[in-house]
Amino acid sequence: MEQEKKRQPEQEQDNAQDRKISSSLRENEKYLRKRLENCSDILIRPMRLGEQRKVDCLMVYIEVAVSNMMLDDSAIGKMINHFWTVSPEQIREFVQYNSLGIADVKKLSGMEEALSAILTGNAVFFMDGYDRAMKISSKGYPAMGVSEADKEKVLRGSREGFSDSVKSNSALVRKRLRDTRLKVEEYNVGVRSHTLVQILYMEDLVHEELLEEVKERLGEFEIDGILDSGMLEQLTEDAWYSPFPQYQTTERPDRVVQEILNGKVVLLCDNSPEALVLPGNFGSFMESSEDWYHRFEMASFLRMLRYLAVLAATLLPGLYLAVIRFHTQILPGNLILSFAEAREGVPFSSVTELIFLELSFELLREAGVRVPGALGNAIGIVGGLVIGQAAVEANLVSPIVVMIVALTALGSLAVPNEEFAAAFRLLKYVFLVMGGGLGIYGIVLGIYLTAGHLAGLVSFGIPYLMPFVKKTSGTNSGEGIWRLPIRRRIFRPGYAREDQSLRLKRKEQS
Amino acid sequence: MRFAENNRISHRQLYRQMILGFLAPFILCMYGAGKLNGINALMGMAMALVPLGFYVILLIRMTPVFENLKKSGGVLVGRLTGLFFIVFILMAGGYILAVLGQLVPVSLITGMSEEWITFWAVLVCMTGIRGGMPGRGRMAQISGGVLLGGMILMMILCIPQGKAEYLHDMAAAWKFSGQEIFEGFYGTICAFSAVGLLPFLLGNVEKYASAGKTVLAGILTLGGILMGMAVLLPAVLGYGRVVQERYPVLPLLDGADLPGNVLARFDVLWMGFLLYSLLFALGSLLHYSRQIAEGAGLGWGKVWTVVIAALIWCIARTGKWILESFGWYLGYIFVPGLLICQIFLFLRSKKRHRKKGVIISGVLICSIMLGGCAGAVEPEKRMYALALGVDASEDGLLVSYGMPDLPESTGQGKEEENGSTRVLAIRGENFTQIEEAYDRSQEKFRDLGHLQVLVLGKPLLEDGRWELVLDYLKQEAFVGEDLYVFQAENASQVLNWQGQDNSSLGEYVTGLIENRMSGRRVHTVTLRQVFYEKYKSHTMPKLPEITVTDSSLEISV
Repeated sequence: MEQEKKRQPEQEQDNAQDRKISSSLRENEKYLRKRLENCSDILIRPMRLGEQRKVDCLMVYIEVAVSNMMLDDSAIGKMINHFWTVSPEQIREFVQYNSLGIADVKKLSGMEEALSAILTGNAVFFMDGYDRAMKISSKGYPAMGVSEADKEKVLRGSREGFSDSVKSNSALVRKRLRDTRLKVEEYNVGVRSHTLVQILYMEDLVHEELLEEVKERLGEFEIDGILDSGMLEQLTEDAWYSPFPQYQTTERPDRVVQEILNGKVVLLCDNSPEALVLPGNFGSFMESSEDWYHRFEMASFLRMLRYLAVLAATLLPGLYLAVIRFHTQILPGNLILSFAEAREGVPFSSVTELIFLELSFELLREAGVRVPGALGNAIGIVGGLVIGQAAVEANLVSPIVVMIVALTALGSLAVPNEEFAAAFRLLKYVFLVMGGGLGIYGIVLGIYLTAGHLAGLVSFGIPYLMPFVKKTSGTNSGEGIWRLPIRRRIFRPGYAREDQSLRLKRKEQS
Repeated sequence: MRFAENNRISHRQLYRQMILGFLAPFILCMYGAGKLNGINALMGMAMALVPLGFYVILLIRMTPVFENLKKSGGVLVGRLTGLFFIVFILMAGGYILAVLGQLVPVSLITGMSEEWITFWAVLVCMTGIRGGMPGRGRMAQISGGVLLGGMILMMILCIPQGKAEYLHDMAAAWKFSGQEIFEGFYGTICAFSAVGLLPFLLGNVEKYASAGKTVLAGILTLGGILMGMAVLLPAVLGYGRVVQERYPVLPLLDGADLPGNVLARFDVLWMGFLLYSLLFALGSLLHYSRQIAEGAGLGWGKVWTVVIAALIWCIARTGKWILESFGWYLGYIFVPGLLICQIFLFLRSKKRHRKKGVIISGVLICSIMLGGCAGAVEPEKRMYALALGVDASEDGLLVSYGMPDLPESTGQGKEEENGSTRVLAIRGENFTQIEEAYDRSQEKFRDLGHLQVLVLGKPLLEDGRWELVLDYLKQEAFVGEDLYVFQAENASQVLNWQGQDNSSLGEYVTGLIENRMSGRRVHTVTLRQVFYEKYKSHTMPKLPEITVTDSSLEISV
């Protein structure tokens, strides 16, 4: 019996899926009041409009999202004031044929559609004798405005970063790509959260198979709620078990535009300032948006440094252990003697010592992120200096290990993408154990495993190791370590359609 | 369409797979005692490249036949052919793993059991085949170039160590011999026998019919490196030494310097490159075994991979047997057998993830915890001997190890836990006894990797026991060959000498030699030169002499 009772609301819910808006306002109001029972944040406002107040209307909206609805200076307010002075026939005509005379209005025919519009932060207007409702856009939910991109700071280039509102985010992209070929498709994901997800792409650049695949994957799962693009990413990526991110994330609109122009697809998720760019690959994770704003020599040098940084962040602790525990012969005599002397009196093995200090750094980093503003920075500096210095003086660790950990940390911080750097931070521990346990043999085993794993990864059919595993060498698009001069960046990378591979051409002089 | 094409590998990936898979096995196993050395072998190698070129063209034409052995050869013949290829893979894999198991504990990490080392190698190689052929292609593309470039660079860095007189020895030892040329020829064909697996690979290559140039380029690159190495080895080590050492490639980098002295030696990096290539070769064999098992209808490929990996490990454990007999099997059974299978199939055709990865990673980590760290010694727990003195004594030998004064040398001023000893002298009948005496009495690990000076007592040189010293140093894998060798009346007394600035003998003598302009340089003899004379004529070259008079140290020729 209890089970049947539970099923009843579910069945009602199902019936509501295809419930049409009735021409009887009373019926609509009854249904809405039932569905919105105990939702005190949603207001249902009955009104009587027209000269003799003969036209029954209903306005439904979320209080905070549409708080200024009735004010005179808003479009809706003006409209309602106007409706008090015209005849009922004129009101019906206005509603049916002129869409209330407001620009951003959409007619809705289903109840579920109407409810969805209300929950998205719009006002919905019902009128007696009319079997449609009007969705009237308003300012929507409270959200943070456009702010600086904190995670991807640049010296040159736009300061704008994405905010939590998906609509604002797509507007920031549109602001930079004023082309009708830029398409923005909307989907609601999450059976309870109804999170708005937008797919952005350049119609004539994107491979249709890629687009189809993206849409297919979005429809492959049913989940109660999507709260951030990170959840979307994990649900739709190819290899969920890999520590490497398969979507590139960015909070910079200019970066998104760069990738759209490369023929990639971008997913924007409501309530998330991070855009997902796909397919993701090794080269794009190592790229910063300002790479294309700097001069090519400097940009290439910086890219090279980042690749070295990745190597340092992953291999340095493991190599250090391999060398001092197994292969001391490869270091110059004075250096190894210095290492040996520095470790004199340290009570722990070098592996323990290094793991201890690496974990301390991770703790500092985590604490620095959680602690607000300037205090976070202070924790980093104080922690680094005080803990490092104190640990060396107390002979808990040797000074060289502090240097190794500092260089490793600098390496991981120099990687432009945080998720990508995090994968290498994890790998570092694997190499640390393997180098400490098996010397260079362990490091070689680790490199073989990592190379094998990365070589097997694909993101939407594109090998993860692009552009280093490109099959053709003719069309260099400047994605690798060497950043081409802009004048030589003639071709788009392989993500774009072949017939659109030309990016730059010189205009013929008249 | 680009998105679909990713299932096939490019010609570049094919080329790099060949380089990665063949380079280390060839370089390690083709030279040395009883293998392909000398000018006759070199001529044989060059001649073998020609038929190999034709053979490759034949293999390309046969590719469709190998896509489904059962279909092209019939159920029985297809399965038998598949089994034959799998046995070949088993033996080749066992051989490569045995080589790896022999090299690592001797040359890289002492004190680790061979079983563990080979076990980890097999485990890691099994995970490497997860991405299928496209994955292996990409892996080869990103690492093949680095490996090839790195190895060629190291060979170039070895060139300055070469001596024309060493090459003259090779020329002097040459006598035209048809049999030796044929042995070089057939030996090269046998080495390249794994090219017979090419049709299984070519099925996954885009436009494979035009892959001939790529494969030929691969064979020519490998052939060029092999021939280059066949000249470089005797030029650097001496011909006499090359024909007597088991793996002469290993000490090749022992005396090479990196510009800028960033690293004292980089033979460990050389070993790293070789190991990576060996692992790739093993991974490729495992991948092919799976593909062949599936193509021949022998059952589920994944199971076969595990079974074959286990069998390869078992074969490698037999060690000596596979190392000694694989060459015979290759020459008399596998090479003719592979040819017969291929020709038969060709003629006949004319008529008509996830869970596994996690488990393997878990096993790998656990096994490293269980078996790892056996050979690891912390840097402060090592005794860094910079100078070694050997004298003849009444009991047999007196060995003196000269160590630096750490607080003094490094300037850090930290006192050693148990005080420091500048010179440690141990007597014994032979080096085994001396080592045992050291192990009984000293807490620190004896690290001879930084040895800079070797002083031999004159009586030792006269009675011929210097050969014992050289044999001892030969078995010490970490001793560099660029250390300076001297003679002295009393080596122990020389080692006990202390400079005015408290510098040890090793540091002082190295400074004395290296900090002079070329015109005033002291004549020196390195360990490599000593080895050269020993392997060539069992003689000791004329060594410079160290004398200590009134607390000053002098070197005279």
